[in-house]
Amino acid sequence: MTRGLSWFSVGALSLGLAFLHGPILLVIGYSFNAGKLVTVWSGFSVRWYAEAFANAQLMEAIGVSLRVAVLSATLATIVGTLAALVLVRYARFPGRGAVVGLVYAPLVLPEVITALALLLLYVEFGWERGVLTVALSHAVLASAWVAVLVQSRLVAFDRSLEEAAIDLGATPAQALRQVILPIIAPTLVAGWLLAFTLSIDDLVIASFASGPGSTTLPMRIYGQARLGVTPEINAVSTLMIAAVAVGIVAVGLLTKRDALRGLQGGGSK
Amino acid sequence: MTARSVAWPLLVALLGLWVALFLAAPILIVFKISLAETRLARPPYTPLLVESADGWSFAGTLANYVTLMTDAIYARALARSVWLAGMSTALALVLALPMAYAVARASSTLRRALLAAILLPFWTSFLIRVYAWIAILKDEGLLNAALLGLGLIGAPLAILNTDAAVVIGIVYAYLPFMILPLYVTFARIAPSMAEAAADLGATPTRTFWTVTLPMAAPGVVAGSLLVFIPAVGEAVIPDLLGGAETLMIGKSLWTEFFQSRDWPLASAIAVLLLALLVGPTAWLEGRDARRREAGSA
Amino acid sequence: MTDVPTIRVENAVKSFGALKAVDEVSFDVGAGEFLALLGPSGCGKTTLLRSIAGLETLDRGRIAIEGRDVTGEPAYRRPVNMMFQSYALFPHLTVAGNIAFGLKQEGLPRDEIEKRVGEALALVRLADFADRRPERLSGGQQQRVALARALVKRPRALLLDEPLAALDRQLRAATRSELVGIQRRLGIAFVMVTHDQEEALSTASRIAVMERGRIAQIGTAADIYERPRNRWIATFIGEANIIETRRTPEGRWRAETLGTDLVLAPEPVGRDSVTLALRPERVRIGAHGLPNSVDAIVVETVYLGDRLVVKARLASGSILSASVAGAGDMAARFQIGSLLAFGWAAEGATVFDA
Repeated sequence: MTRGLSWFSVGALSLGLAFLHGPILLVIGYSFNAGKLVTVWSGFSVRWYAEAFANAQLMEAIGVSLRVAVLSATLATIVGTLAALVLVRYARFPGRGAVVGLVYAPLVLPEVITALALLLLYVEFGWERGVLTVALSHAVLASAWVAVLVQSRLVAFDRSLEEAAIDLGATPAQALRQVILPIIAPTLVAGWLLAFTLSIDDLVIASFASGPGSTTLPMRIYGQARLGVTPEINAVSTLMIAAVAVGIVAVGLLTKRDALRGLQGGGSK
Repeated sequence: MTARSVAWPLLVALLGLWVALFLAAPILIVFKISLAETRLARPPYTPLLVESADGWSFAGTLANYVTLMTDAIYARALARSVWLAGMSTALALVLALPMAYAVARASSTLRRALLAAILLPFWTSFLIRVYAWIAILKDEGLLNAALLGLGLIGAPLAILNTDAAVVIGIVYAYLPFMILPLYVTFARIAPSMAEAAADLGATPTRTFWTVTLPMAAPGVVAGSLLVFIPAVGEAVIPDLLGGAETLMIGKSLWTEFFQSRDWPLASAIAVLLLALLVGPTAWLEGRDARRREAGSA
Repeated sequence: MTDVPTIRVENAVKSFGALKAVDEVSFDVGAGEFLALLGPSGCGKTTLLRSIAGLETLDRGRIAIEGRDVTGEPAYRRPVNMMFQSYALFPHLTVAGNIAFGLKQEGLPRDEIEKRVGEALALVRLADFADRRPERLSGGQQQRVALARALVKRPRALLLDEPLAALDRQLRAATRSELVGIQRRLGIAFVMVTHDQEEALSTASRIAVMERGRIAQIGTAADIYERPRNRWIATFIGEANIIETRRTPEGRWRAETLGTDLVLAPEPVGRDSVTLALRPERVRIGAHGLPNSVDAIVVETVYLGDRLVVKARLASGSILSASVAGAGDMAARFQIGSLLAFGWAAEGATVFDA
């Protein structure tokens, strides 16, 4: 009886999606605008892309961002998977509440708090700030996201697969390596991509954790945006949007049935 | 089952190590530095324990907290932040409800496409999306151009650099955070609930307000918290879209840190924010956990 | 029985994609009747029930309730109510709140609602549970709330979706009599969907046996059991020995699997071959001078407490089932491997179309 959407629903969705995607389409559209003004279309041009590529600072920032993103995504995937594995296996132990709260805290807290806290940690320990500290800070945030994703997948994981492996002679470590991880691998890849995207995109955490020579792309854009909107930024942004869109599609294809199973849901009693 | 294997205990230990080092320790350090004073040195704050001829002594001070309590500017910033975050949360809820409900009722293939469409903007650079709104909202921007062109207004509306722009920005940035928990909750409601309501005489609208929405209350709470808490501490959106008077506490923290180079004060702001935001959430979570224990008994 | 049937379904058709769940179904439900829709899973009985409730729309056909055509009407406007298999109790309302829900939709004044809710609670004996939440109730109690919630609206008919499926044996028997008692007391029509033949036989005044979207046979319990219309029904309801026979030139009925000729009553007219259904309880062990008799070797005995089922192999290799009531410890009498005579009366077997 409830299959099929009412006109109200269709209207709400259309407006909502238009609201969400409008500004993005704007950025993409104007990256190809020959002129500088937002309100005037001066013809199709790729000159801003050319100027962006010629902008040394911008290119360097992209390089930094990519390096940071790869490092943090890898670390975040490891840590997030670790957290999910432990939290799903052990339903009850002293201090579990605190662990859960801390692991997922970065998801909910204002970014400035997480950013400041981690930076102060680095200073206390005397660590030099640069690409590594930015990557580490990003990993702390992203691992929370990976943990959410992997936890949702593990909850739907059939325990009897692991039990069969052990019954057949595998140690728990082997069962973990040879049965559990391979089966949830698509979710792990999806988590990596998610963490990568988060890192590429992050401004606040990077601002606090970076040092000289480790200016990320968002930091560079932010610096320039405060002075005024330059069209090269539109071009770079469009490239980033394209990269992320590819990432999202990849995540979607990989997880399909897998990680988003918990999200998809359906009715249950 | 894991009789002699160290595999899982090792994983637990590793997790414990990570949590202690990169999640618990930083919070303690923030608290520690909030008790220090700023100085021109590396690091730019005084140490907590000072060695003197008589041994170690505690050199902490509550001066920063006193500043926060007495200087009205911080109280105003906090109040402003809570107000704007609250408005944004309410607005996001109103927008998200019909969308989440629609997605939950869509067919399974359409559902996946819709969820991807809703999540896609979220993953395309936060910064770019916020800054795109500058282009839309400024005096010479798209919105004013459209309204002027249609003859609906005589002079450009000053939306940019006002609180309104900040609210729009926050709603825009955090909308998916509201939609997703609502969608998950709606999707989990068994279809037989709505069918039973219809069987008992409730029209679809009645069913939504008296059965579906009350049952989705947990999703409303979750989504609201996921928007409200980070929004209170937002620094970037008020900086780009707000005006000089748009004082938000997150921006204050940023300014104290980067411009005034007053790390201890920034830390004190962070501690205050943590206490205000985490306190109620932790209490709610604790109450939920206790209720769950009681229910299953 | 009044002239206008409480429910009339005419030529109902409902497909899901390529699957025809309901295939040209027509039947009536009279006032005060207890009709069971009985069939294996996938036969379309639930779809049919939901169509009457208005939760599914038919592709073709007509549904009328007390003469009024409701085919196009949505569920919330039809004067029938459903008791869901999962109960579908609203978790955010108390028991009283759940029961009052339907009355609120009718816009009744508050004191009227309170009165009717009180009556409904008394009917299902849950008066003390008015302020409880559904999650605090046992399965049986939840079901009674679901029942009260549907009945409080005084529907023209109550539709029940597998009401006894989730209950254990004891509770099932008690709930069964309670349902029958309530139905008799209120005098309204009940339409119940079930896959359990014992349930159907013991509660319903009429049974519609469904198979693959069609009604295979509709009648009283005795009609269906004693005079199944075809082979499928005969084996779906209860057990049956299926015997093929051919008319011999001498005018008798030859059953190849039995290796003997049979006497049938009434005599089939105008046919050369008939198929018979012989219920195990009609088969007596020992000759007893019955017109039909055959010898077989006992291969298995199944002790079911109140009866003993004896399975024996015939010379042709086929198995014949006989059921002995109140056998007590008689299993010893029917030793495996012993050769015994099995006999039945001429009217013992039901004849249907070949």
